[in-house]
Amino acid sequence: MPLSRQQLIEALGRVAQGDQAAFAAVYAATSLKLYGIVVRILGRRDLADEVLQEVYVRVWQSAVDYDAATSSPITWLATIARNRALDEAKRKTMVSLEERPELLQLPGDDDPSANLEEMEERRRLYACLNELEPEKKEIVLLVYHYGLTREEIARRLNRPVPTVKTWLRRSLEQIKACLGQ
Amino acid sequence: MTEDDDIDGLAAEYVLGSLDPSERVAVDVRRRSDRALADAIRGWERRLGPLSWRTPEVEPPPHLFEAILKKIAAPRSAEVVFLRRHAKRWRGIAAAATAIAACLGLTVGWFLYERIAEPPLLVAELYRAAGTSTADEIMHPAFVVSVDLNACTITARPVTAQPRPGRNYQLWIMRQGVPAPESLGVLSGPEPLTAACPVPIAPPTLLNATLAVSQEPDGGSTTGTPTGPFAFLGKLMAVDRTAEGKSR
Repeated sequence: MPLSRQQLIEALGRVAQGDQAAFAAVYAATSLKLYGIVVRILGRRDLADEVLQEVYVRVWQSAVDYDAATSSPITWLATIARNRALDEAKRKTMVSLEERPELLQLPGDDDPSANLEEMEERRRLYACLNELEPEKKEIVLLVYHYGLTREEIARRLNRPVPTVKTWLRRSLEQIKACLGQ
Repeated sequence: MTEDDDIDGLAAEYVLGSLDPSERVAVDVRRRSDRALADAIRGWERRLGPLSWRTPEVEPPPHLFEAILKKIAAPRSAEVVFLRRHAKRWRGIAAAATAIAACLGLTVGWFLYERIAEPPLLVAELYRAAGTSTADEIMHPAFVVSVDLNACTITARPVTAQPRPGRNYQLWIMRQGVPAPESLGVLSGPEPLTAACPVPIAPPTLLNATLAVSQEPDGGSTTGTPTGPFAFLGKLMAVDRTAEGKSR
């Protein structure tokens, strides 16, 4: 069941107090998204199942640390999921992107639960991504969504690893400068 | 450790996900004591966060939530939550108090921790961090490390790791607040290695500590630090002794 940003913030506040009903509401509102994130990085459902459990146990234990003033609730949750999935993915799997090219598409701006502030943040980030050369943009998205290392990107593109590192850092600097923050 | 002076670039790549496993672990360790790096990571999490908002949703299996509830209902998890809530309050008190008062708060906190928490069993599975994994290495860890806080011992057992002539495996631990890896000893054959816990022992710094194995010449590193990249990595996690007993 979707929760607005404010409802999610309030629910996390109750989770921090040990409220299991609020925890169930957070799970219902976010588990499809977080499972989507970990499945995409890991490429294996069996691993994703384990990781998602650990992610929500972490959410339960860490909700007390969430600060709405410093990050949006979904970014905070997604960061926990991505970090745990990346830790796992780095040692386990390599996803075949050729099988799932749709994941490279930038999604549209049609999320009904997003508020105006979130939509604006997203629009600005995508505008900055679109200022990168197409190949660089693709690399940034490949890495973000699949956690590919520089070595894996280098093999894929048949380029030296230092070149890939330079590309990544310059692209990220460009995104930061474009966002102006 | 991470020899990368471009802190913002390193943080950006960490959040993006492009670091190799040993670099990632090194950043995980360094961010705990390097405020600039930790701040830079938070900045990049905020900048790139919107990319994850629109990730295609996938429905998890229905039994997962029940499994999660069982995990958070376990007494040990409840203790951890209790401790974290109180730790936050202690941090707040400590921030406003003098150094002496802060030390006192820590002492009281530690006393309370010992009173309410039975020392947990901590376990880490170490997998290959660099190079190509064999099928066996994908299915099974190279080493399993367990920490028994009652006996205050750390035991490492080779599982799929194979001895290499002229090389030893050396076990290291990287703990929160300790900037450099600490050696726990050398594994020279198929026998397990048992080491004493690092002193001073403090379970909160062992929870989520990273264990790593490097390959060293006979007898281990003579420099006190790993002489090459970590070959195997894993994180210490608390294990529910009750659940573990039932599964056997």
